[in-house]
Amino acid sequence: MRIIVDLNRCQSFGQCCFAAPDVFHFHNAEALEYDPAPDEARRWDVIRAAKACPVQAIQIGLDDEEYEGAQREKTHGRSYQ
Amino acid sequence: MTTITHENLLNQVLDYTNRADPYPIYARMREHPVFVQDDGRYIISTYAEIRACLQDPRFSSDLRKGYSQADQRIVDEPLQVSFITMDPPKHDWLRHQVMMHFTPELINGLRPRIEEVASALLDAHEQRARLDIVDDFAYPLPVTIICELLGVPREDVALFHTWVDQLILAGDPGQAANKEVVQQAKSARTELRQYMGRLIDKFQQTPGPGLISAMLHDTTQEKQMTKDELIASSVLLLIAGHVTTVNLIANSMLTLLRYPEHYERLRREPSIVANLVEEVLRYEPPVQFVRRTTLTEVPIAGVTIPQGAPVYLVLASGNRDPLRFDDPDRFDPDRTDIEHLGFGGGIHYCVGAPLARLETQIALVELARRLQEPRLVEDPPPYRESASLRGPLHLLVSLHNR
Amino acid sequence: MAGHINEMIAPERIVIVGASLAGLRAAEALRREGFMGQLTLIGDEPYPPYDRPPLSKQVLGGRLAVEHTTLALFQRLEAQWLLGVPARRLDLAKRRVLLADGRSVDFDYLLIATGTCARPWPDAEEAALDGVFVLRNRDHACQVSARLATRPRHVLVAGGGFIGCEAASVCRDLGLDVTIVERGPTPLGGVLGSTIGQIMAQRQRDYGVYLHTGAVVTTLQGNQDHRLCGAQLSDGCSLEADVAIIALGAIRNVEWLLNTDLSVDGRGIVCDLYCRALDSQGAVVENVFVAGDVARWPHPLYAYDHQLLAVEHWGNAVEQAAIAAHNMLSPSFEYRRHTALPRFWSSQFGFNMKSVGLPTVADEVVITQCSFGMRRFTAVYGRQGQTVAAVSFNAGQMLPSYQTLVEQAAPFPPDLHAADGPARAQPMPAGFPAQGHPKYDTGMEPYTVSQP
Repeated sequence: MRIIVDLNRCQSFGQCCFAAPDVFHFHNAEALEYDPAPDEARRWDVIRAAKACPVQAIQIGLDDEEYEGAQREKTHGRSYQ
Repeated sequence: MTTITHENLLNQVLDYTNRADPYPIYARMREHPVFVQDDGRYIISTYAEIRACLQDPRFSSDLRKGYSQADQRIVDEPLQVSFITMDPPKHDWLRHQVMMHFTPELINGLRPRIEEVASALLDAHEQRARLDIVDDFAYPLPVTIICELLGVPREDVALFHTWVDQLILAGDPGQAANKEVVQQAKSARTELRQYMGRLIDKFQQTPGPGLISAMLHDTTQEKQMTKDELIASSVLLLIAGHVTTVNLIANSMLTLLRYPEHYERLRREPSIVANLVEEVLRYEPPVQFVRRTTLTEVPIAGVTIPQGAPVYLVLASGNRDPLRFDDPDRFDPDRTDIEHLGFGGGIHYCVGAPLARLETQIALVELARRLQEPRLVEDPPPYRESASLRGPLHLLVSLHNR
Repeated sequence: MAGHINEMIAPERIVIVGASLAGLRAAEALRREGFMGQLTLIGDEPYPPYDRPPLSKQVLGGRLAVEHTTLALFQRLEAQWLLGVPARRLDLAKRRVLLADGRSVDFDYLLIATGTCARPWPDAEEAALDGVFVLRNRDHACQVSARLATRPRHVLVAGGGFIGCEAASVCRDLGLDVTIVERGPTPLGGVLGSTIGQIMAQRQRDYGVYLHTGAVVTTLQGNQDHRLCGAQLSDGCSLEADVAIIALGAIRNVEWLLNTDLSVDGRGIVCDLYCRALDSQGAVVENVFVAGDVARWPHPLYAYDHQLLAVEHWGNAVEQAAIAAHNMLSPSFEYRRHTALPRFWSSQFGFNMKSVGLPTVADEVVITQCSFGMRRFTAVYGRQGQTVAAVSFNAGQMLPSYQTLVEQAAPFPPDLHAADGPARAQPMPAGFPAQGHPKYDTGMEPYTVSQP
């Protein structure tokens, strides 16, 4: 699964760290660090974390179907510089 | 330009006859986001303004800094050096001392125990036709857990019930004039303080399990808490871990009993519980209003609050503000936009929120799983005295007999 | 959902050049607002859109695998993705984007969101030394992270702006020796001013960073194996280093536009408050919008003397992209203005720094709250007696009330009487370089002088 935290909105209440400690933690006092691609097994914890956030800074994204469809252009040795 | 309202809406809220449903009074408060009553108290009842005040450094939680005489009397004792009534910088330091030990590992580690206690409490009443959700479940569960968390011995748990009830009662602004209540609270406070002091002495001699001993023996800090600070912090956690969580569980269950379709849904889909608890925190918060004073003149919503004024932030009213929440008086466990004020906001945001959430989520899932078609015996149920720490005193349900 | 798209201007084909945060959020906004036509995203990197802020923090520190930075999606796009191929030219008349591989893509509406790239070390030979890195994209982050994991003896960070300081902070987290060389009198002087910058400098020294201010790196030196072994500084110092992180700022990706009639130069592409691109005469270029790091626009709060605002902020990419997308699909009377306050955050040396407003226009700064012996504090910036910005250090819960002061351009210094504030407000000079003075080469050029 993929998530995003709006770190401008985040005010370091830390409720997410309690709900999903494998996904969210503080690095030094108040800087939130999180795994933007947590294991699917953590979905329930992440949902709880999103609900618990007092400022609704956590959003859970859709699956990766779109990216799987994204075409990657092969260059085969050409340089674009 | 100050709006004076002759109708003392706060007194109506404090009036016990309105305990079961203060919400229409809150709605009338919201007609003026900020107003002053004839008794000089400033009431802030709308979402945006409450949120702003909770985060505004011009507002203080240290009521001694206000000019209200009534506020002075509460805070003249050593016990009151808990961080809930402090301002930065001292607040920040003391809260940090406690939070350092109140970790995700500690709280999440309680999950099996919470489940165990919840289950055991319902086992004990399995054959009964009637249950008091408060006395038989919502009270003993958080009390057991907080005592274990703190390291208070099980056999002493019953001692606190009376002391805590007396303290809460005296804290209610409606009881300020009641001499007997005030006196009882004073002695309860003393007894509680002495108990904690003895417990701390014991842990000093022999480290034990729990948070109190951990805080006591933490030598990693540049500066240690004083014994009074440790006592006050422990008492704060004890009381908060008691009263408010009990009310959250009871308020949740009351709401579910009133909306049996949601109760059934919780039975079938326990995964809705996280959002459901947030909606209860909005809809029937265990803390209905909080106190502040001002450190300087504050102009807000067309009113100028003078320095030192007694201010009431009516969280439960803000949670029902139609300017913030669609259809605010509707209990909707599927509501998505829930940025409630149930745990406050700003630097005093409830320390115990993660534990309260965990306990309540487990409690409700277990209740819904085990109690088939419970019916409210009496609606509204009898309520506790307190207008601010509001919740049912008893919540009698009749059960479907097996 | 499609109801409010004016039929007369309903586009059939929208092309977004730039497949990073702004491009992605614009695409989502387009679909969310009902755009049903063909959507193409063009990105020069061969990766789906990914989040950059973690690259200089937990990815660099080895705490997060770089694949995890792929951005979460909130809307089905059903877009055509052309990744790993840069745009080469823009033909405005034909409404055509020419790609580096020779293909062309036609559009009804174009969003330019090509962002920035890292300013390279100016000497190509020295830049090619083993151990010299820039830090902008995920490949860089992987490379540098891997190199730091080999425990280099000494890391040189050229440039004391955000990226440089965050990278140095990661080095100290890892227990590596690191030197920051910064042109200005303090690190982060270009974004926080030298007064607060002094506090940052002290903090860095407390964390064991070797700090050279008022100096630049003049030469990178390699050994016979073409490995970096040291550097010469302009202050006469020389130091040994086996890794150098070149953090001298960012360059706008506008090369491909320089032959058009757009109002564009090295500082970015000029657009109006509705994100519409302007041409060299200042007229609106039909059907071309701009969003993100590459944009320059007149922000109402900061348009002193007709200055334009350009920022490299995550929040701006998200907000401006949504505005641009909305306006693309709307008749002009439904346009939204991009007036959101600039906001940024940074995490370094134990500080979670958050800012609202634009500190760089300030002439004064005052500390309004502090506790924990200055491990937590808030600074407010003022310009000619008005509040223009506030920055919190480990005090994120306080910032919203300061945001209100900034939005209202409240009198400065603010009269807060905060419990943890000074007895009397003591405004100090903010310490930003004077207008017209050569800018710091930290890459953060959030406030530039517009040329006629």
